[in-house]
Order: sequence, then C-alpha cells, then structure tokens
Amino acid sequence: MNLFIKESGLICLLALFLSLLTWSIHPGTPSYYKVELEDGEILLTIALQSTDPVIWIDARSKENFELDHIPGAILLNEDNWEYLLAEFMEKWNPDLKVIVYCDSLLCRASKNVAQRLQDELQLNNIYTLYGGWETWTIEKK
Amino acid sequence: MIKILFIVLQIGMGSLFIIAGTLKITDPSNFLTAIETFQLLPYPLAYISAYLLPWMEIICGLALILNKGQQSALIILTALIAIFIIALALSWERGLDIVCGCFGKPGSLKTNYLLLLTRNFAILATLILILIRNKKIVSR
Repeated sequence: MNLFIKESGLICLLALFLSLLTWSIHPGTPSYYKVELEDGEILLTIALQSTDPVIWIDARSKENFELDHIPGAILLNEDNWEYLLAEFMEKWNPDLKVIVYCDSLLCRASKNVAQRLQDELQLNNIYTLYGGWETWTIEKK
Repeated sequence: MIKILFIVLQIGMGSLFIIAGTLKITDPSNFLTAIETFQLLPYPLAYISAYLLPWMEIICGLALILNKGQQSALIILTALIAIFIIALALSWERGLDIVCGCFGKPGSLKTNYLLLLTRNFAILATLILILIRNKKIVSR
C-alpha cells in the first residue's frame, strides 16, 4: 500500500510537471475562459472534425478575400449579394454543411449572411464560425 | 507460454496508452473540446484534465513497458478507464453527441456508444487481468 502511494504520487507529480511544461510551451494553448456559443455558431475544432462535406462562405470584403481565405471558400457578402449568391448556388448542394465566417469575434457579417441564406433559401444546415478568420489564422499558424 | 502472453499484453497496453496520450497532448484544444462535449466537468477542471490526463496515460504506459511501478500504473489506468466508461454511460443516457477524443481527432461526430463501450470494457478487462496476474506473482 505504501509503495502504491509512493509510486502513484510520483506518477501524478511527474504528470503535473509535464502538464505545466506543455501548457507553457505549446503553441495551441486553449482559451482560459469558456467559450459560450450563440445559436448556430460552431467551433473551428468541431468544424474541422466533421466528416460531413463542408462549404466555407467568406462573408468579408472582396479585398480581404483576395488577400487570403480558407482554402475552397466562396466569397458571399452583402456588398454584391445577388451576383455572389448566384455563384454560391452553382457550388451548393443540400448535402453540404454551410459554414460562414467573417473577420473576428466582433464582426456580424457572417451572422447576417447566414440569416439571409436561411430566410431566402430556407437553408438549415448552416453555421457561423466562432472567432471567424482570426481564429483560422491562429489555428493554422 | 502464458508468461509471454501477459508480457505481450502488458507491452500492448502500454503502447496503446502512450499513443493515445501522445495524440491528445499534441492538440490540447481538441482534447479539451472532447472533454467539454461530455458536459460533466466545470471548465477549469476540464482545462486541467486536457493537460493532465494525456501525460498520466503516457507515463503509466511507459511504466507498463519498462516494467517499473507497473502495479501502480495499472491501478491508475484501470481507474481512469472505469471513470471514462461511467462518463460514456452517463452521456449515452443523456442522449449527448459526444466526441470521444480517445485517439486525437475522431473520424466522425456521430457517437457510436456501443463501439466505444465495448472497446473500453475490453481494455478494462485486459488491465484487470494483468493486474491480477501481477499481484499473484508478487504475493508468491
């Protein structure tokens, strides 16, 4: 019994030390606060784990989209809605999970685009990316 | 013959936990998300577990392979797997769509509880078998 307490104590101490070391040097340290998702929001980690086919919608400006975007993403913003919507419809099919993103946590463009897609096309398999493009760039560093 | 079988089982279990722990600790955010889907732990505890559990698995796995402190490692791993089975059963009962996170990123978001429980019961049974066998040898 004494040996078990000693050995398990040592294992726990070693695990604690290595955990602290990992926490201090790992580049992908998770957020210190709990993420509270709004309705229809999805975390990037969950989105990337999904085996369902995904179509990414970039709701940022055309300039930002042309600078860089999530691979395979389609530009669809409210600046040129009718034209871009037609392009989106060419690539969309009902089996695709639609994930819309904008610049960061603070932007509303992804929510607006997702809402319009729901209202105008009655899409229901649609999400907005929590943290938007900013989260993507941090995750992909 | 039986002795060799148990050595293979012990090394196999050790390797399994080292691989599982390594896959988790390389992506703590992903593992934290997996823990969160169980909705059992408050966020600070889930956060600590996301770092501590993978290292416990790796160290205990190493102990099994190196045959140093293997009884304590077996008891810890048995307890961890038993807790995980209870967590799985609770999530199933509550109808949650959990992410196992057992070996890093899962292949699907659809939870196959039966498969997960079967797999973990098999691991639990193997650990208990090795534990009993080792105890018999020590007490001789």
